Amino acid sequence: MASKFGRREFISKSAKIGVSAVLGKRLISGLADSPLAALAKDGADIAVITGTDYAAMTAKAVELLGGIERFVPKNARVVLLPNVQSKNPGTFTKPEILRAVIKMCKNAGAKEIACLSLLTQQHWDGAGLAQVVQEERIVLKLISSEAANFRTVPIAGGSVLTEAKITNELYNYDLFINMPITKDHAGNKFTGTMKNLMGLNSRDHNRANFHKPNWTTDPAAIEHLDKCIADLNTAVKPTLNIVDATEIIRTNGPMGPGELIKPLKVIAGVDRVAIDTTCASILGLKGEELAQIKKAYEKKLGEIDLTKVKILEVKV
Amino acid sequence: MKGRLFLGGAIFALGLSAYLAAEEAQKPAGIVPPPPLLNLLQFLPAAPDLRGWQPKGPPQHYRGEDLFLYIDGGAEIYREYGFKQVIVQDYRDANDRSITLEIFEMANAESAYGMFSFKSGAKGISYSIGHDARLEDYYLNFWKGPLLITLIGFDASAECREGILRLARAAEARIPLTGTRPSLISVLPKEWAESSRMIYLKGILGLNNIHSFFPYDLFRFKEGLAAERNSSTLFIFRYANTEEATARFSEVKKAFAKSPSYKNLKSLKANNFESTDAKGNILRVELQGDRIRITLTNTNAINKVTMYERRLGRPQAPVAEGGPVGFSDGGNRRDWFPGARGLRAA
Repeated sequence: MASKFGRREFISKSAKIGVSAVLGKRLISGLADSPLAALAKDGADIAVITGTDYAAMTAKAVELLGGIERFVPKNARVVLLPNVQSKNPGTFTKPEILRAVIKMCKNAGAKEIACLSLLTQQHWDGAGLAQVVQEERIVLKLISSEAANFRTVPIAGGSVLTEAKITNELYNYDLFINMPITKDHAGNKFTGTMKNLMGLNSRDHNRANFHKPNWTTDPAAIEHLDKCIADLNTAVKPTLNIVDATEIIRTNGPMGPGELIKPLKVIAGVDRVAIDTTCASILGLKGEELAQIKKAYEKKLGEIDLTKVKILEVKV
Repeated sequence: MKGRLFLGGAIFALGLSAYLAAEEAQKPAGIVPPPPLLNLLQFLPAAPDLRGWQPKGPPQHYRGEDLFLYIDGGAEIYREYGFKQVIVQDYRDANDRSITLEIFEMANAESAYGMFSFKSGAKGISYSIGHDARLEDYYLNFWKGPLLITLIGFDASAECREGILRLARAAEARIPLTGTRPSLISVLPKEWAESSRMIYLKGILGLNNIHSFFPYDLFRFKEGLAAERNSSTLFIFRYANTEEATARFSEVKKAFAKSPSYKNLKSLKANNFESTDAKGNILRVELQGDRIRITLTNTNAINKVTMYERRLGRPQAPVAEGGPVGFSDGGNRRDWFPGARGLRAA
């Protein structure tokens, strides 16, 4: 049973790191023997795993998508993008989930694993994710805001953006695993896989282009932000998305503090529109009512109609 | 040499005077410079009031648009309420528990109260700290004068909650400022005055977090209120004067009549009308002097949601703890995503 907040669980577990490492190894190697392994042959489009052991849930989610090997070939260089926006409970990707993904990538034979961030060491320390990075001996690349650290990526057919400014570091890796936490957003009501990609785009560019001048808050400005998010998602496509929907805020997002709810879920898949539609439902929202999801669907980035998506829900 | 220096200095002084005079001439007459910002450092709790909690690291300070650097993606709502600056200080106890204290200086006491009402949940416990205070699971908000103070604990443990209350009281004792709630609250009908939740509004973003009437800023109010009672929500929008409210009411009525999202528009009198929305809510819209008042009543039992759901624009309750995803009854039923090709496993 997980304790109230993931960060606390993380700290208590990290004190028993030796035990965690052994458990993690058994967990990964035991997947092939899972009674659900047969289902994995044709794989789900989206895996929704419920439970209290966030590491096991993460591993199970990837297993149901066909296994980590489907996404991470041997000797691959993998870059991870968890959400570390704030240290308030329910606002950042749980350390247990990050650790589980790192372990899976290692077991798949990844040559190099790194986390990317446009935020600060303080953000990583506060969320407890810096400790995972350190203990798992992977690289944390904090990207400063200098323009030279970002490359212009044209956005053909963008609704509002003609280009993105993506961190150069992303292109030093073979594949990218997007690891947001889904939560409330006081502006456009929802944060999921697609919103998280703003974490790869220059903060200066985000500020100048995604948000209207003078911080106007009328619906047109919010819709503009949603259009930018959809446009940005045409410029970068994650290999895999693993979403923390374990303990999340449903008010005062994205930074919190806000009311915590506990769906106790990890959700994984490739299709960002379908995943975000699923995550929106966890928050009581409908995908078609959220402009960022609707716009992304119109750009053919994924499926908004979940009756057309193969979803597998499992409890662990 | 001395002569050259003197000449150079004289030229520089003349140039500077001319520049300053030109700057002054460009300022529009009658513009009053904004009041200076408060020194927020003076309000941070310090020994001997800390009792086991110690500051960790230096305070962080963000002003104006730099709030974006602190609240990336969530700063707009603060700006709508009139954000000026914030100071953030972390505290730790001997067991490495942390509490973060944020002191926001808002434009005035009304703005501070507004942001307090927006951030506070309906489930919290009221405390006598500042003008109003509410303690939720792991965080507390209170306001005093033009300041909104938020304390966020590491978790909801008794130790953290005690620490939050201690630091909140220590901060409050250092704040000599006072303020009053917005006068608009006084127009709230008596039966609504003790609503389970009341939010003071300063703009469209706050309103849309409660209920989205139209996909654009139709009401354009100066200030507003939203209060919940049973299955109804009352909205009051105030304008600069009666003429402005009357003109806006006319625009509102036209918009309801034209919108496919609203049906059954009935004009009861010249200054009010009723309509229903797609979710079965009945809306009664009235012009009252310099205000427009809307009563939204949910008559559909299936669609009975709390103000929280409406605040968030949510058609259904969020998923229950550990419950399956879906749209049925908040995630508690198993027939989620009817027709989905899900391969549900036990």
